[in-house]
Amino acid sequence: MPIIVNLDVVLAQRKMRLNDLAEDVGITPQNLSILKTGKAKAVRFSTLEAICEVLDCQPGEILEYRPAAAKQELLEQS
Amino acid sequence: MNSNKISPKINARLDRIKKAARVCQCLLGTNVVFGVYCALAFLFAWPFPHRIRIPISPNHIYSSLSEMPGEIFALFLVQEGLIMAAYVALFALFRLYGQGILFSVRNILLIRVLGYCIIINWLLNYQMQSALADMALSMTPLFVGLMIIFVAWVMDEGRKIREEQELTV
Repeated sequence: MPIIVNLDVVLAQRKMRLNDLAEDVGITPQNLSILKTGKAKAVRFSTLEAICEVLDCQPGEILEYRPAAAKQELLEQS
Repeated sequence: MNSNKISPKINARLDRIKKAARVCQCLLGTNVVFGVYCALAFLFAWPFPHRIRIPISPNHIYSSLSEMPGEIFALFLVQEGLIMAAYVALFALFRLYGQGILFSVRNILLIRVLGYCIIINWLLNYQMQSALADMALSMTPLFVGLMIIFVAWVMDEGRKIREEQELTV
């Protein structure tokens, strides 16, 4: 997946646990774990807004686009 | 309210499905035991309250094994095996429903198996009636089998949509 989720990095910087973030954001830890491990297919703006509000960060700090990952994926698919 | 939270109504619905599935399993199990005994009663002349008759076609209704031609008997055995396979698939499907698993890959595979069993059963009936030169075949089972396979395909597509939604945070 060319979109990389750096949620674990931001959590470590803020010294926050995943379960605490999930509780503050209002979603289940399992759902947040799906995002953290990069398995998510889509993220709602409302969820992203809540995460940024709790962590006091920008969406760009959590989400990163890597073109190299996209090319690798295309090669694997072909 | 965040839509990622599970509604308490879903648990109540799942419980109802599980209970209904267990009841269906019991009824199916009873039906299978009864059906197997009927088949064995016909094959080995076991005691049975009424005379068992196997209608292959309108003019060919057999009440004992000795009356059946060899080819018809072989096809009849295959048909019985197929019906048993369909019952096993249905039982496994209800067991999955009883565990609260409604839309997994296995569910869809079992529904497809049911559809194929119905179609192959229809083909066997066609073959038996052709062998007896006494055709009175209805197209309904073939149509039903094809529709079941179509429904299984739709369920598979729905499962993929649901998986994508579940992976939407």
